[in-house]
Amino acid sequence: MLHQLFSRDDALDAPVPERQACRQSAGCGLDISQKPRVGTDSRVTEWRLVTWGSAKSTLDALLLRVADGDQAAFADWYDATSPTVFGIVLRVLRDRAQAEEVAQEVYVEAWRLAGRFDPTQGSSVSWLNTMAHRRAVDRVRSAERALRRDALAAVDDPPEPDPSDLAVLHDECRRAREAVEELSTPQRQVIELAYFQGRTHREVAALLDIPLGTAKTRIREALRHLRGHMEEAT
Amino acid sequence: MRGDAHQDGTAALYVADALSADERDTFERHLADCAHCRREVQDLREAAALLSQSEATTPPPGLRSAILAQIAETAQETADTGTPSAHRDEADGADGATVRGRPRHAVRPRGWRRIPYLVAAVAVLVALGGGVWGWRAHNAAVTAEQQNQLITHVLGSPDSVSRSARMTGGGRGVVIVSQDNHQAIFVGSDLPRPASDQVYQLWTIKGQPTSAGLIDSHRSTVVVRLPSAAVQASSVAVTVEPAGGSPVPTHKPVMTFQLS
Repeated sequence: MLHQLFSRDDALDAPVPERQACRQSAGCGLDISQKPRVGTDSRVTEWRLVTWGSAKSTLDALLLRVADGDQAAFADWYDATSPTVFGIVLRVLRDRAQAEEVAQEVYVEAWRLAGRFDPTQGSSVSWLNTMAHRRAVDRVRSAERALRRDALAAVDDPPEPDPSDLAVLHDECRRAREAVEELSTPQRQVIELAYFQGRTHREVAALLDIPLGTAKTRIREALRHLRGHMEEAT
Repeated sequence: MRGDAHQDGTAALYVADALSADERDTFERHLADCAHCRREVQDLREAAALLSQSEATTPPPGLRSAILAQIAETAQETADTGTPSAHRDEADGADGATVRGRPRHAVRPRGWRRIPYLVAAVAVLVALGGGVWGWRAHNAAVTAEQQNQLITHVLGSPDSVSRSARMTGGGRGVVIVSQDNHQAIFVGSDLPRPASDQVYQLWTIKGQPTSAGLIDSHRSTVVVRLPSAAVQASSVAVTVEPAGGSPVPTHKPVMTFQLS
């Protein structure tokens, strides 16, 4: 197992990859220049203009409508959340075709199970992100992952950025990036391996040659730090 | 893993999906019994969402149409079709209730699905800890904490009934009444802003209308606690009145909620 880990890729020697996605894309789903949407609810326009943080509860309310079978609400919810979902599954899987497949599975699952969403237990964004991240990680951990990743990493060049997208750099997206960049180097290392590459904490510890407990602590501290950042921001 | 598992930070590993499949299963069993860890998971999940957000990327346009087409043909799980011991199943499916990290029956109030989404949205605001909405207490200054307790109380009460109404100019309202708790609240959403010299006024009507307070906020969601007399009222109404309110209504109601 370990030799596989070490031979699989050279992620550790490389610096943490450039966070380009956000800069090259419309970002956090609040791009008001996006295509016309199915939903016609006037509130949608309104909340697209505010930041994600304060829009979270509106997104939650949308998902509650989705739970009642409202497809237009689902379309709006998709528009607001899909850059985050697609971004993370693409980051973990490093393959656009697979990322699209997983994103589609995630949204269909979210549609199916929307009735289980309980807004008192967390935001709809974290509800969805949990599904998306776990699904991507499970897939990347599947038997063929090493093969796939090695073969595909080379061809996964990001598409040319659309100039109109570049103009839309949403605050919240930028803030999220800044928060991540604020993490200490050891914290970013463990987050890179665990969260963005889907490694288990044992793999993280082995790859970094640190005690298991240290890997664990760093992951927790990194998440705690981000949580603290969010609280400051609100 | 049971017992003091929450002391060693496993929740963070769980949230980061950094546990092996076996460890994940074990921790989920622990979660079912450990409120402390459930809170921790819930909290850290918001941080994980931030990590994902930092990688936001525009999805291909075809994805949207493919997904919308597929959901149009996909049945939704209804409240009744969920397995009673859903916790495990959900864990395997990597979906919703694991996200919640607790058995469903433990928290969701009975009849939740029948509550209009707007009211559920209030619960969202409650969960966010107050300070988000405009609030006008009737005859009393109440703390944010008390507001939250009140709303949770009214919403969570099994006997609570709700009536909703739409305004012609857009916006809607819901009145929720709990006979058992002798409490009632009004929730307004996206009410059109009245003229600067006007204000919305609430009335409880039992024979005669009695003022139930003013709506003095222009937030998109407003919550007003109604006087306990509202519990016995035959209806609740909203009128537009001159600034400061009126002793008796001077206009026709813009919204009426029939309670009995």
